[in-house]
Amino acid sequence: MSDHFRFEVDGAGEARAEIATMIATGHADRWQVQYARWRVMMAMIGAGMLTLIVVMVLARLITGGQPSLLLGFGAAMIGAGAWNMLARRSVARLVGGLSDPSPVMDGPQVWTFDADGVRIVSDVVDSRFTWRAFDRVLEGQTALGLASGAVYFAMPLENAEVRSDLLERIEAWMLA
Amino acid sequence: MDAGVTRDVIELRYRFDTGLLPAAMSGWWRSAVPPQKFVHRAAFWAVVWLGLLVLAGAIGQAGLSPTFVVAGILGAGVMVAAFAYLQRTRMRQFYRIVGAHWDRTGEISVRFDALGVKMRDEVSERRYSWAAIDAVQKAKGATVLRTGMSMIAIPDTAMPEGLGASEFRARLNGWRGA
Repeated sequence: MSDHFRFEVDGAGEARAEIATMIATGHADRWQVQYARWRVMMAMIGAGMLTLIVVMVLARLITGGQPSLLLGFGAAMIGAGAWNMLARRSVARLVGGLSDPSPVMDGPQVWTFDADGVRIVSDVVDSRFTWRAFDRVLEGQTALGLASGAVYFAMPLENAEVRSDLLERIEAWMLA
Repeated sequence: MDAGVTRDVIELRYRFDTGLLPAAMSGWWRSAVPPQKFVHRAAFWAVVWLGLLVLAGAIGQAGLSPTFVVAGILGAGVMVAAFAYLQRTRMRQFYRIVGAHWDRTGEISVRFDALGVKMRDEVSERRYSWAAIDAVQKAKGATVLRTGMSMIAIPDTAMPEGLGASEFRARLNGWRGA
């Protein structure tokens, strides 16, 4: 296993959209994103059942009768759907905004990883970070992301074997 | 690097107060997603409320009790309140995780001049040319610079004497536009 990785990439456009989605949804890898979708569905069912109970009590106390109960429950479900739709739209707008052309992400970049940290060099940026700087590594299907507070990086890395090797090394470096 | 301001250079030293994080992140978000025009938002909500009014009227016309409308509003309100609570809890957790980063950075030194931005702290050293700065955004209590997906937040309290936050942003935009 290598102790030094160097990648020359020409633009991080695709990677950026993938990593931006992870940032916007607060998830660290593609499995978490998939798990989160299931979790949202389960939460919706749970919230629906809870709402049914609350609305049942409120409808009986304030409005009385079964038809009110059904209407209240229906409205709650529509509210949940609308909320979910607005949240998805909001994430899509953020990902769209972060995917706008930017000299930081679109030009050629050289990424160097070793035990000391990571260095990212392009025509407009030269950054070095020690591993202490990072709190999360984000693994996309075609990209690798690093998060350091609110500083995010995305590097396209489609080769799953190399990505897995690099991730393993980064995790070891971060723990060292 | 000492804090100070001259005609050609602005140098700042500060420790980032994570209490500013929600406002800074909000500024970062606005820099990537400019808020929709007031007219658009007003039109959207006018249509929503008009729809509800028409629905309420239709229920009344059908000879049903207005309590149905009350039940509908109650149901939607309960769900919105539940989601709003979950969102708040989630964001608080997010700020705690992201904010832990600044416990490790220690004091941050930043230098702005015609060439760009230089930053140094205990875990990183960064140089950006002005072309790398995609946005300079005002936030509550801070100035936010967005570079690609990343955020650099400069608290207003870090400004040296004689330099206000709005003047600071004007100077940065002057260098960006040069």
